Amino acid sequence: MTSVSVETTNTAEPHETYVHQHHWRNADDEKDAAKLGMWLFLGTEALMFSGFFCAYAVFRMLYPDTWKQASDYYLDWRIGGFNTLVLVISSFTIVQAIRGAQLNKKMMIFWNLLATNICALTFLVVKIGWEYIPKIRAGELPGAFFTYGHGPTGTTHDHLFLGIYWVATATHGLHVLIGVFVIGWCMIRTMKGQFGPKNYMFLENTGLYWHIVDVIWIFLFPMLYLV
Amino acid sequence: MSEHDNHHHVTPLGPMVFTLVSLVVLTVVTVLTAKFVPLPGSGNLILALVIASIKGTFVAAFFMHLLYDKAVNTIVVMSSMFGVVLFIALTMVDIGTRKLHEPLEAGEIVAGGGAQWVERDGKQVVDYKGSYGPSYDAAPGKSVLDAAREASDATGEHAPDADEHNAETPANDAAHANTPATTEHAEPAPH
Repeated sequence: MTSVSVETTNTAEPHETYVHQHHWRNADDEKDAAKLGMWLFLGTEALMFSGFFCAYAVFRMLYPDTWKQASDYYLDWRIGGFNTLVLVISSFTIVQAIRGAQLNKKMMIFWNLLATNICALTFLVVKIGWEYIPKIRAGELPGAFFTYGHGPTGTTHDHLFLGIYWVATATHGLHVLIGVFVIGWCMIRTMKGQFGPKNYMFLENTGLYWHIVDVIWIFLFPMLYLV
Repeated sequence: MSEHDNHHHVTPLGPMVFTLVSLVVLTVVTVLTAKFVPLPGSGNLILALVIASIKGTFVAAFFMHLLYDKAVNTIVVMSSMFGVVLFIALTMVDIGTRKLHEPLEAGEIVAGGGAQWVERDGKQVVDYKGSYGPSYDAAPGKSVLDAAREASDATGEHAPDADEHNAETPANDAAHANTPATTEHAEPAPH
């Protein structure tokens, strides 16, 4: 390795000869910068979701009784709880995938990424199959799409609760869906042998993204399904 | 290269398993306290949010490696959390203290808004009464959109743009082509 050659990243064992991009002093600087960029992105993600939490706070303060009754009536905590456990486990498996890269065990990365994606798909199937589709059939939709007459409160406030439920969980679900594709991409790159002890930056940033999806659900679950 | 390898961090397994177990346990605790331990006031909500914050901190510190990383990442997270707390807390202070200043209460929400269609000088006009949008009779089995469609079919002409088209434009046919479909859609509503 006399000269810095980017082509070496495409050889059979690229992690052994991984060369950072030429504008960085060394691989550590490159990794730190990528991670900091990811954290800045996650900071904006938290701020975006805080809009939903703020709307939740405002409407809950205005209509506290409706909130409690609507939560009990429209949402089943068993579905939410199951999905919480699924996401928590998937967070653990993606950490194990990163360990696999650090330990240079290719199949450990692959199987853990696969487990993560199975958890993610389970989350989406449960969410859509057991919540979204029955809700659409029953007219339990947000805002002007809400069908009146079968709510628990006898008032017309339920569509506010459902509005926040739909917007917050659908935005979160979209993040899960994006995560499925990104993790799938990681699996492809793993099988190409592109991750190893010196090159797992992409895997680690995917993990960070996946964890923030988990953290957001950790807050959404009790707020919408339980209390 | 070898001195480089020495400070390459391998995530320790123990803390990760500890985090997973505590997350599962805290999830169960959240469900049990929320469902079977009724607390006065907003007690259950506050307890659930405290537990969720603990869980989130565990994920950030261990799963997301903040504990092992450079402090700058933690500073980014803290700045973001500061923004989130400022945003939500100040909004709550606003909503929570309005009643102290003037008797402003949350009103009853009328489906579709509090405004009414009223007859004035032989014309249907909207009387807003400080509200937004027309008011529809959102009876059981109907959404506001269903009710709006029915009201539209009944009077035939209270959407202003449809009114203008009604005058003489032949493009009107396109507007009429819509009408049977919307009537059909509104029919299943029990009356």
